[in-house]
Amino acid sequence: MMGRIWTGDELTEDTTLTCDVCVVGSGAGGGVLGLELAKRGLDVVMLEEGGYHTRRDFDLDEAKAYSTFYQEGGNRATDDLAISIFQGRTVGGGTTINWCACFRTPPEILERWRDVHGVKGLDTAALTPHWDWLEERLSIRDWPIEQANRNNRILWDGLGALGYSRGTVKRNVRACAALGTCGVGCPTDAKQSTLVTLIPEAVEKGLRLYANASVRQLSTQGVRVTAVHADVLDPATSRPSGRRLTVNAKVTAVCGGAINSPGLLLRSKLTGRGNVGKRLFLHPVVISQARFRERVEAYSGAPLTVYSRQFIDRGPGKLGWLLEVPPLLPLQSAVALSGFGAEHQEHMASLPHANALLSICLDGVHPGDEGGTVALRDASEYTRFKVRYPLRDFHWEGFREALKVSARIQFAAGAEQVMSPHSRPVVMRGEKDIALLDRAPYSPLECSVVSAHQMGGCAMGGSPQTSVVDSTLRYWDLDNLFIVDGSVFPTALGVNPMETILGVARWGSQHVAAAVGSTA
Amino acid sequence: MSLSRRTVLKQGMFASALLALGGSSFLALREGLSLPVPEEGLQVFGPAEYATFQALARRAFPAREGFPDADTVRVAFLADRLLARGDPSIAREVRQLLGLFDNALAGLLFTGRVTPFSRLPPEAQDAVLEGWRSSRLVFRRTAHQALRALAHAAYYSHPDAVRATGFVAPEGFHDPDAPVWRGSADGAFAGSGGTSR
Ligand SMILES: Cc1cc2nc3c(=O)[nH]c(=O)nc-3n(C[C@H](O)[C@H](O)[C@H](O)COP(=O)(O)OP(=O)(O)OC[C@H]3O[C@@H](n4cnc5c(N)ncnc54)[C@H](O)[C@@H]3O)c2cc1C
Ligand code: SF4
Repeated sequence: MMGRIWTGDELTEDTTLTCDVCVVGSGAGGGVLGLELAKRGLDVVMLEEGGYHTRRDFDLDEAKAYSTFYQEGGNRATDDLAISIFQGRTVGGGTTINWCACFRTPPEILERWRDVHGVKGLDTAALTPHWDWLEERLSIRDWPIEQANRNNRILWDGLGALGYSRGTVKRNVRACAALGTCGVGCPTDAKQSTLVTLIPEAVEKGLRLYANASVRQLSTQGVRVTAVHADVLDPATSRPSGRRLTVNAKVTAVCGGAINSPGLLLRSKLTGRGNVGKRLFLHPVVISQARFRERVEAYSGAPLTVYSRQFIDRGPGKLGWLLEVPPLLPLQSAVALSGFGAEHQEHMASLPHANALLSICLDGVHPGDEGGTVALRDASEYTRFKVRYPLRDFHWEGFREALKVSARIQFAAGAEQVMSPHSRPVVMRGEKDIALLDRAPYSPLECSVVSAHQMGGCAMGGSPQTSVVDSTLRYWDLDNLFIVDGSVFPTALGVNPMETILGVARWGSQHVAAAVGSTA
Repeated sequence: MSLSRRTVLKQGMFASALLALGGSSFLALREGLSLPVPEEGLQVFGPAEYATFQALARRAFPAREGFPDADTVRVAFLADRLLARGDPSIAREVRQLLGLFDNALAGLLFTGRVTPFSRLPPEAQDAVLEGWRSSRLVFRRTAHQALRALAHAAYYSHPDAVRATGFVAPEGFHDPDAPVWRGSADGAFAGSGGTSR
């Protein structure tokens, strides 16, 4: 069978398809799963609510990129706006617009999933062959420090000066021109996203991909999903065109990512005994901004190539964090960085001299840290969910200490000024000012928090009383529904999640394929 | 980036009561600034919301050497277009919010002033904005964040504003005519990634 990619404008009438497996979502999880199933000769239909955007569309226009390739036009956030949430919505999902950092799962996290959450059979040994394959296939290679841009070099130098552990990051790129624009789509196809690698290969093997197809509901009967119902979207407006796409599949795999996957289940009245939408983890991030005398040009060069896990484990009951730097493109910086009016313009005028440090906090691994929740909003709210993530003293203490560490690192690397992410930033001109961070306000919207790593919402675990999917990624109460994306993580990771999701999806594909066999 | 918002007006009894009161009171009907509507028309904002947002944008982007001003960038117009692309429920909330923000009764309750925000002198507008930013009420801080983010997203979507930051997008890499592959029948393989056959 010949595969093909269709877009919403080609679907001019209501359509019903039959297949072996319907894969909902084409991101890290969906992309891998689609290929693995197609390779086994299965008939796969993939539905993606985002558009089919390729390097022709990646023109480096930020405003267009966020509003087109991101969930909710780049405006997804918790209900109180205290945490901005960045997430992909395009063929390739987050892999199309992410920053290319690749990490294998820390072994202690997989051990926790086994020991605390009852996950079986998913350990480093089980995932290693999949990671080996993926690293070869997606050209995941170390980006040596000699090639680091100034922004990453600042982190490297600051960590070194203070004697903290540091490492260089592996990236999924081939012939990367180090443009720094990964977050708005790679114009050269250097980024080995699922968009340019696994999905085309799957299509060559027969996968049928429908972009601009937003799955609204799964129909169920007894212990089976009987149909997948999607609205066709107009690619120009991303609004429903009035056409419907229905897929009758032997097996359905939901790969919509954390937030959207639990959202789809809830819309389908699948609550997983109350567990769907629970244990949402965000890797909440606080950003410390610094100004250097020399030009940093943090918008140019490979964006994320140095990290430190020095502070990932601060002991029981204390939030730990991973340190990395983000690229600083103007529009994203303008929204993410603090200040208002003349003060904010001052920061923007010195953008070429700015460096920023991310403290990516590891959530979900301390007693009582249950993360956030996803729930439905009004039926009229097409792309939006009610996302809540209570920030408690536990978080604020971690954020405050992380900001202090960041400031120290930035000063150690030669910063002339460091600013906190408060809505009225704490401005520090030297080490002695770091104590000012203790007196700053720590509460929602007074200190800004962002997330680019969403995990959980359909947690995997050893019991249907506490989790949504079992250790084969199968929804506990249905025979032919699987969830294959970051939403199944029972905790966050403490490293960037893409490679874990890719690995878990490739590992999990055997179970999805087996379910087709058992229902054939 | 986020032209954020959220159920700012649903964040508690206080905000809902205020909104209900606002609609029925004499003070709430005091007129705000009036600005000519852009000739291309508005897709989301009404004229009053457009003027309120532009008044706010003028405070967000005060005159600064090298940076275009809020009127040159037409921040409220670009914000209107950004909102038009999003979920209609967001646009609805932002409109409600702007109504409340410029509402004289809300002004009286929060700041003791009965002049709509958009008609206040600049320093008084700055004080109002600061009051919303640092309020003890989360819903007012949420409102400030929503409007601030929308203004910043709109302003920095304008090429002159981007240029003013010193950023120059790398040139010569984007090919607007790059072929779009949809399947083997279309010929060449899509990505640079090749296959693992
Ligand atoms: C700016 C940014 C930078 C990042 N940088 C890194 C990095 O450097 N390294 C790293 O490891 N991670 C990074 N991430 C995170 C990483 O990209 C994600 O964790 C990963 O892509 C999530 O994979 P997923 O399969 O769970 O979901 P996604 O990749 O988000 O894919 C889900 C897809 O499903 C689609 N979908 C959702 N609901 C439906 C529906 N109802 N119907 C049809 N389709 C639907 C979505 O549109 C989306 O395309 C970054 C993310 C962002 C936003
Ligand atoms: S840094 Fe490399 S991978 Fe990222 S956009 Fe530029 S060329 Fe593509």
